[in-house]
Formats: sequence, structure tokens, C-alpha cells
Amino acid sequence: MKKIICLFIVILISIAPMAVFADSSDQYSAYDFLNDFVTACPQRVSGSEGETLAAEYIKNKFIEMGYQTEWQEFNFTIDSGTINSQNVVARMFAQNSLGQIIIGAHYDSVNVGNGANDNGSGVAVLLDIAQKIADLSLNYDVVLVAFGAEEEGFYGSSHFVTNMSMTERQSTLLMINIDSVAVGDNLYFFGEDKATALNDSLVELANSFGYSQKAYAKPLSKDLNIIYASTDIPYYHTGYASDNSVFRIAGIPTEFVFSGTFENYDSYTQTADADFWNMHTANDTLLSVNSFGVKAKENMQIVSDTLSNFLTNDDFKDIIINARADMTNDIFWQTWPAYVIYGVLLLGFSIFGFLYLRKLRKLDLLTVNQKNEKKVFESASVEDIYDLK
Amino acid sequence: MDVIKKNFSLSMWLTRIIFVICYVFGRWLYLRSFSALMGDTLVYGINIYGTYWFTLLVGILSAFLSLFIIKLLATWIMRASGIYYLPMREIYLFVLLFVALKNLIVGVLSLVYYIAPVLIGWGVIVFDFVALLAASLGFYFFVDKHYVPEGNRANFFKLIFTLILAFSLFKIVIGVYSLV
Repeated sequence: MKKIICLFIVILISIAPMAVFADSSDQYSAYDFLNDFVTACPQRVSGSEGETLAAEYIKNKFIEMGYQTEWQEFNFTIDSGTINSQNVVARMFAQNSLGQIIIGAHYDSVNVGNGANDNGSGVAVLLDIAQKIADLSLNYDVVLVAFGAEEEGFYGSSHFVTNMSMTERQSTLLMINIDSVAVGDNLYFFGEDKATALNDSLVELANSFGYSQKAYAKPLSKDLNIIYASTDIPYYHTGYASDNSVFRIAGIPTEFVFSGTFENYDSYTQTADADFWNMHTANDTLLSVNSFGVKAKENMQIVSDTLSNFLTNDDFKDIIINARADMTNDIFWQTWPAYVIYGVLLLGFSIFGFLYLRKLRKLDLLTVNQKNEKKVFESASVEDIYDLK
Repeated sequence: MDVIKKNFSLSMWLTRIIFVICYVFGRWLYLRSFSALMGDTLVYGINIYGTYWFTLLVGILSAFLSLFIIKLLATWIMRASGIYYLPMREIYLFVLLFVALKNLIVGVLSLVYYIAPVLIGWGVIVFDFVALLAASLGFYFFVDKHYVPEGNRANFFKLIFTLILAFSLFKIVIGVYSLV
């Protein structure tokens, strides 16, 4: 009996850590995806073999989960030459679709570090969401996109949007972009430049899971006028510094999820934190993310839990459908001063026109004969005076 | 003037060519958007919207369509306003020339977008009006000097003035309506 009890205790002791590990793994499954992805694809510079391998890795994951996938190739030219890249697209169709929701994350990285935070974390969350919703019946068609060549200038997302038909753009209810969501003291949801039901709901939902890390709403940009007045994107705030900007400029409602530590609510400047702020540095590695501890895992898991819940919970249906109506009317703010200038010019022209018309009418009254008569009087000769008598 | 009158047919063809070139030059931005839309909706799946040749083709076709529409409008407006003292075919030639001038001004002003793309939002509204004013007044003063008989100047100016005013107000109303 003692032997059996001892054996039971030994088995229990040996299983216990595994059970704890399993719990931990379940709790932070997004982190597991990050670990696997960055280990398998540590170098993903645009146009490199590593980037293509990463795209294949993501495509295989989507296929394993049962998604229809699409391999979207494109190329672009920069100073160093022509770069070939690709987007990986997974689609899931609803039986009675209310519209399309796009969830995207770029998978390329800069040429230093491993891009663990930027944007291995986004890809990991994308895969985690994909896994969670794969077998569910949703109200929306869901398009999961891993964008290539973001770091070179949003080329993957630009190619994706350019290839969307007008009908597809109009039927897209929302685009959610996940970029760099591991490192940072807070999570930020960039919506419009005003409070919207969509943004508020996401933040509220994110904070409802009870993680120690907190989510905050943040305006997209304070200078929409300047950004939208251009056909290109002249400069960036954080809210515009990722693939979501391409969709937003194309008139599609967007949410951008990002983790960081801004100095204050209005600021777009990160607090200097040499240990953890690793974006676009050689320090953006899995080791660095790990050193950020449970905060990094929580950041990623909050995003995954929030977005998958948001897609599956019917309570958010109306909010998603109405997201388009809540978009800031950028065109109005961009162009109304021009119409004021137009109006002032037109008023000036009208005043000139009326005065000039009056002058012409007076001149026209003096017909050729009248003018001649006037001329006679104005330069009266002795004969004229004689005739008048 | 005499050269134009003596070689009217040749002048007309030259004017049409100038009109088409200026039309494509001045409306390049709109043509690019329009051809992108066409390529996107009509030929979805075939990547033609980005090609400059397609934009050029759309531009030339719409320029020829504009030639036809301008002739109809010019004839109708002159008759409706009871102006019979102007030689219609010569006036049509000058209408085309000054519309070409308007497009040329818009095209030249639009070049600033390549230096400062931030100006596009305002430029497409204000530059168009400035060019319209310059070309319309140029047309008025030219025709007034060479063709309008004494005693009819107020009548002719009233026509041009009313047309500019009506067209500009229409554009403001449509523009503001599209904003709200």
C-alpha cells in the first residue's frame, strides 16, 4: 500500500509542473505562437528569403487550421532596387454575412534584431485569433492578412487595398491592425479623433478580462487635415505609422492596436526605457520580450482575447455595423477653408461684375449717334452755334 | 485674326488638338482617379488601373466627348440669349481655345502638388476657380474687342457674367453638399 501511495505521490509530483505549464501555456497561447514563429523565422527583412520563409510558415499555419489561403505577390522599387514580397491571406466565409472584417499584422521586420515585438507579436496574436475562431460560425466574413513589406512603407497593405474592388471596400465593416503588442506598460487602441462606440467598447472589453496590463483609447492623429490632404502620407503619428493608415485613407473604418508607454495621454513620445523599448533596434529579440516578463504575455493575450471575443459576441454586432457612420468626416475638415476662399473670390468677382455691367450699360446708352452728338456739343464750332440759333 | 479666318479649317483642327492636349494635362489628377475606378470596377482582377496608357486613353476619349458637348452648349446658349451678331463658328473656335487655356492654367498650378502634396485638398477647389475666372474674362475681353458691336457690350458681358456666376455657385453648392 505504501508503495502504491509513494508511486501516486511521485506521479503527482511529476505531473504537477506539467499541469502548471499547461495552464500557463493555455493562458498565454499567443506567446507560444510568438515563441515558435520567431524561433523558426528570426530574419524577415522585406524581399529576403527569410521573409518568404516566414510567409510560408504563416500560410501553413492557416492551412492547418482549415482556412482557404491566398498568396498575394507584389513588387516595388526602392533605392536599392526592386523588392519582391507577398501577403498571406486567409479567408473565412459566414453563412449569412453582415459584411467583411479584416484583421491584419505585418510579418516582415527591420534588418536588425529579430522583430519579436515588431511584429512577431502581431503575427502571433493573428494566429491565436485564427485558431480561436477557425471552427466558429460568425456573422461576418473574416479576412486574416499577414502583410509583407510594412517596414519599407506599407507596400503589402497598399497592394492589398489597391486590389480590393469598390464593392469589397464598401462591404468592409472594419479593419483591425495589430502591430507591436508585446512590449510596453500599456495597450493602446487607436480609433478616430473622437470617442466612438467601437473604440470605447474595445477598450472596455480589453480591461474586463482582469489582466494587470491596461488598455487605453487614443486618438488616431491630431493632424488629419494634413495627412488627408495628400495622396501620400506625408508624416506619421504613431496612430498612422502602420498598415491601418492605408485602409483608413481608403475610407475603411480602422482600429490599430499597439503596446507602449507614452509619456501622457496627449503625447506620442515614448518614455525612455532602455531596457524594454526595443522597436527597430538590435534589442528587439525574443530574449528582450521575455525579459519584459508576464507583461508582454499579457499584452498579447489581451489583444487576442479582446478581438476574438469582439468577433464572436453578438452584443457588438451593431457597433461593428455602425463603425463607418462614426468615422470623422475628414473631407469636410480638409476642404471647408478652400470653399471659404472660393466664396470670397466669387463675392469679389460678383461686385466687380455688377459695377462693370453698370458702366457698360451707361456706355451702351450712348449709341454711336448720341456719342457723335455729344462730341458736337463738346467741341462746338462757330458753325454749330450758328446752326443752333 | 485674318490668318485664322483665311485658314479656318486648319485653325479649327489645330485648336482641337490643343484642346485635347490641355484637357489631358489639366485634368490628369481626375483622369487618374477615374481610370483607377474604371479599372477597379469594370475590369476587376486585371491590373490596368495603374497604367498611364489607360489614363491617357480615358483622357483623350473624354476630351473628344467634351468637344461635342461644348459645341452643343455654346450654340444653345448663344441662341437662347438672343445673340445673333456673333459669327458662331469663330466663336466656337475661341471657346475651345479659352477652355484649353483654363485647363492649361489648372495643369500648371497642379504641378505644385508634386512639391507640396498637402495642397491638393484646397488646390482642386481654388485653382479650378482661379483658372475659370482667368480664362472666362480672357474670352470675354477678346471677343468683346474683336466681335461685339457697339451698343451690345453690356448684353454680352451680362451673358458671360451670369454663366460664370451660375457655374461657380453650382460648383459651391455641389461641393458643400458633398461635404455634409
